[in-house]
Amino acid sequence: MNANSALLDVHVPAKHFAGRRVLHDFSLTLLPGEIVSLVGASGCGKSTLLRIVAGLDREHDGRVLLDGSVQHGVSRDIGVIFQEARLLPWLTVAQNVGFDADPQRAHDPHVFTLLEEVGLAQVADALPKSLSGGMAQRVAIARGLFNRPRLLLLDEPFSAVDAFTRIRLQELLLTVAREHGTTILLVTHDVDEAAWLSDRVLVMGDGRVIGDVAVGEQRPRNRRSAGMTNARNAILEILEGAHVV
Amino acid sequence: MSSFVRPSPLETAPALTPELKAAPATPATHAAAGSPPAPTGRARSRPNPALGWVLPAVALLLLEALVRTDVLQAHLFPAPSEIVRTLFDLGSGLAGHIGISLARVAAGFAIGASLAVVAAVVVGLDRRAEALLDPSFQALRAVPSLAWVPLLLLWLGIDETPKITLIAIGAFFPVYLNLLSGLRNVDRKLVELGEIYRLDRLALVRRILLPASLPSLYTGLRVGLSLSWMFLVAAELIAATRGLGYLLTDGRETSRPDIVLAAILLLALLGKLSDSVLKSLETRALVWRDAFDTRLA
Repeated sequence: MNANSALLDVHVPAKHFAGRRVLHDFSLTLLPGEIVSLVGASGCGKSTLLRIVAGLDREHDGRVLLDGSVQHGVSRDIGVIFQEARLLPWLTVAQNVGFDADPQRAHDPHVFTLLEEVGLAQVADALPKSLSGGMAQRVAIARGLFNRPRLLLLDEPFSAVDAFTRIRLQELLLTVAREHGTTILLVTHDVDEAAWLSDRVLVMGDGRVIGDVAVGEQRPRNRRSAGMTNARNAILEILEGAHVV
Repeated sequence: MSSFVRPSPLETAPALTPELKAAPATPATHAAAGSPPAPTGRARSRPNPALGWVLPAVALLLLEALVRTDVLQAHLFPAPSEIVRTLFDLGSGLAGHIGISLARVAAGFAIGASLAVVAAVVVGLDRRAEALLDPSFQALRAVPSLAWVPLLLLWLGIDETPKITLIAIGAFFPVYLNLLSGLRNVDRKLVELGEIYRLDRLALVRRILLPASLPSLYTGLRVGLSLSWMFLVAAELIAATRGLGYLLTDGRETSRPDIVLAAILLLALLGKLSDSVLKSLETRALVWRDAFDTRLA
């Protein structure tokens, strides 16, 4: 892959955490518009990598290039969505989505466009305590897109919701990402989710990428198609080969 | 704050027709939506607030009866009707006593609480400031309120300044301690969110740390206010010519238990009233809280 045309180019020679090596000679390149998943067992370093890309973890000797320029710390161009929605409970849904705006401009039309996109325009003035887990996560997705980021990072965003909600949120994510042309890096331990959402699935083991599975299946994808099954099997084979599962 | 993530069966509804999981407003909307009443809280009928008057009313009636039947000696324990008469006899002078005490509490509480908020934010945010200031605050907190009185009289004379200072000292510590513990307990994940949104220190305090600590701040303010009343009496007992604390001394010196009891009654009423005001402000400011106690409030 040509690193010059890449949107994101990460290289981390080594990263230690609590005396343990969590990343080792790690490299990752994302093309503009690509949807890439990182899968691997707990503790394989995938969340650490995401925090490094987000600029939240700066204690490493690697480098993160976004569109060719070195990133120092957090950036408006990189949106982050966590496992928990992390809404501020004292703000309304709309205020949470527009949190990064000038607080004077509380009624940003952009906020309502985003809320419409995630199907929550009706609850713009509700408080987070009245939302279900899935609705809260949709607000988080809208908030993550508020700054029109070039890259959206998601850290196991759907692992805390039930199976039906998860499918719905995956579809929603795909729709809004396509609409906004956002490049996505998703960390998950759900092989089905990774295969269905991604153009490419990177399998992590022992702090490195140990497999790169391209999912060529046309979209919209059928979760039960042979192509999806093949992709899942390819991922599982790499994980099994590395004695991860 | 992981409690936000609650899977709900409602999420299976089509994405374009979301419903509120729970009506945020009144119990009536529960009924209208046809949903079953919640196991605790809003849906259950609230006890009548008048229930709180039953005990005082019964006690007063009983006392009245005991005094009138000479079971209690009227010169030591005046009948409630006697106390009421005393209150009327004090007339406009009484309004002056109440007014000056209220003004002292208001000024002392405002000064003490404001300084406490500043101190808690400084100590809560900066480890060096904590190492420097917190041990001294903890030591000063251990000084009993009455111990300050002679010192304040020597330093500040006998006018308003020492009284307000004493009340401010009383209000300071509960607000400081509660807010500091609130700031310490703010969810690390929300602070990280502030980092993602590139908030500087001041913005982090204003937009995340203080709102998140608001429940603790209100707890501190309510304790601080009740201590303000306590310190007010300490200040007025010793060097005052007006105020409810002065009425207590005056009643004792002139052997008028009716005046002493009238002052005590007024302190109880004013203390309860001022706390109710603060409590209603608290309820309004913390509607966002998804906690058991706010549903019962």
